[in-house]
Amino acid sequence: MSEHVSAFHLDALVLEALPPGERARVQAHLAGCARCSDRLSLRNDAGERFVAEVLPRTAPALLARRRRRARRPVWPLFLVVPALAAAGLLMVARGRKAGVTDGDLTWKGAPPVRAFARRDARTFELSAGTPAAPGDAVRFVVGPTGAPWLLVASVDADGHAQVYFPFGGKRSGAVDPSARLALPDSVILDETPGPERVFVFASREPLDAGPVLRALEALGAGGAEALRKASRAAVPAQTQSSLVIEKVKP
Amino acid sequence: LSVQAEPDRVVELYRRYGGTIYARCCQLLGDAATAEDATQETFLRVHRHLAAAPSAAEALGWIYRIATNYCFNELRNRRHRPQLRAELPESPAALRLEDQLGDRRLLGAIVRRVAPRVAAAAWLYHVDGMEQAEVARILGVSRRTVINRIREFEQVARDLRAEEHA
Repeated sequence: MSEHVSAFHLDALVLEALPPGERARVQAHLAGCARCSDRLSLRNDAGERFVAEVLPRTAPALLARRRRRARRPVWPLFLVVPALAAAGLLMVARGRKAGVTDGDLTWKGAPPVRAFARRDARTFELSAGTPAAPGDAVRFVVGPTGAPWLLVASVDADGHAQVYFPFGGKRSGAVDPSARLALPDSVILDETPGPERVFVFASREPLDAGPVLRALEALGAGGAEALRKASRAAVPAQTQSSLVIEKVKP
Repeated sequence: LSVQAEPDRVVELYRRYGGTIYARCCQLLGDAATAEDATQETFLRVHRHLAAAPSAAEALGWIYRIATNYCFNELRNRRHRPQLRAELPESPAALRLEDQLGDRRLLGAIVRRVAPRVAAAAWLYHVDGMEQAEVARILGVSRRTVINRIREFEQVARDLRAEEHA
């Protein structure tokens, strides 16, 4: 692959990011290679078009998008992300007390999932022994998923199933398989006490939500204890994992 | 960076690196309008890395990593499915993979069969002309992983050709 100058080196040349010796080598090659010269011209044309047309038109919109994005999280993510980094991928708690248990996180490739609750002005992880309460706003952090499609859905002991990501969606949402994802929407817990199991399904192709919800409803129909013990759902995902949130009234 | 306190700094970074991101997105996505939006999305994802990068070369590495992955996710998510039969080259065996990838529909067909990270590795290697070790550095994976991803991509391309000519 070394007979021509790589795109990276062409960009580095434009950005004046090449060390002197490398710059001289690239320029010498360009002087004698029509193909690479054409590639550089195309790249420069795009760069000039950006400066002349795209930049003036999009810079205000970019700043506005950035402000919106900065306001969007209802969570202090600066609390969540360091917690993830410090704890590694996930906890392997299997307690049956109120709080969260990770039921299915042992098989290879399963995307890790963690839950963080906000109550009043306080944010904390729903780890084993930490119960959730009605009205808590819960946000999930998933991944890396290792697959490009993600569906997150939950079921409670009443057999009520719901899609959390994409929220209320009909099918899986596209994600970056190599990135950790903080789901954009918070879930406000209802008054129903008992367990709610949240499943994370990662797949190479999008999953339809309908069959997934039906599979989860079947799990929930078994009642609270069955839901606490359920290890996985009958869903054709490449990988799946889950956790249980125990809702108790304070 | 504080949004309110340093908008000028953000715009400065956008001005300095936006052209590179835009050129990259144009090349990957194949049309200027889509590339504009992809440029903004990529910049919003990468600008903190750009602000913290000790050199333009390192900043460029972040741009390549994030723009390439973003664009291949976009390509994968496009709703319009390619019509392969009418679009594959008549004699694909005579063309290099690098040249075949200039066919946007063929590229789209391949991207739908592989993960974006696989397509990104193959593009960096076959189209951008980078060494495997450079690809590994840009994507933050091992060289072995890069080799495996390139092989997977090439196999899918071969399968598509075989299906077309069966």
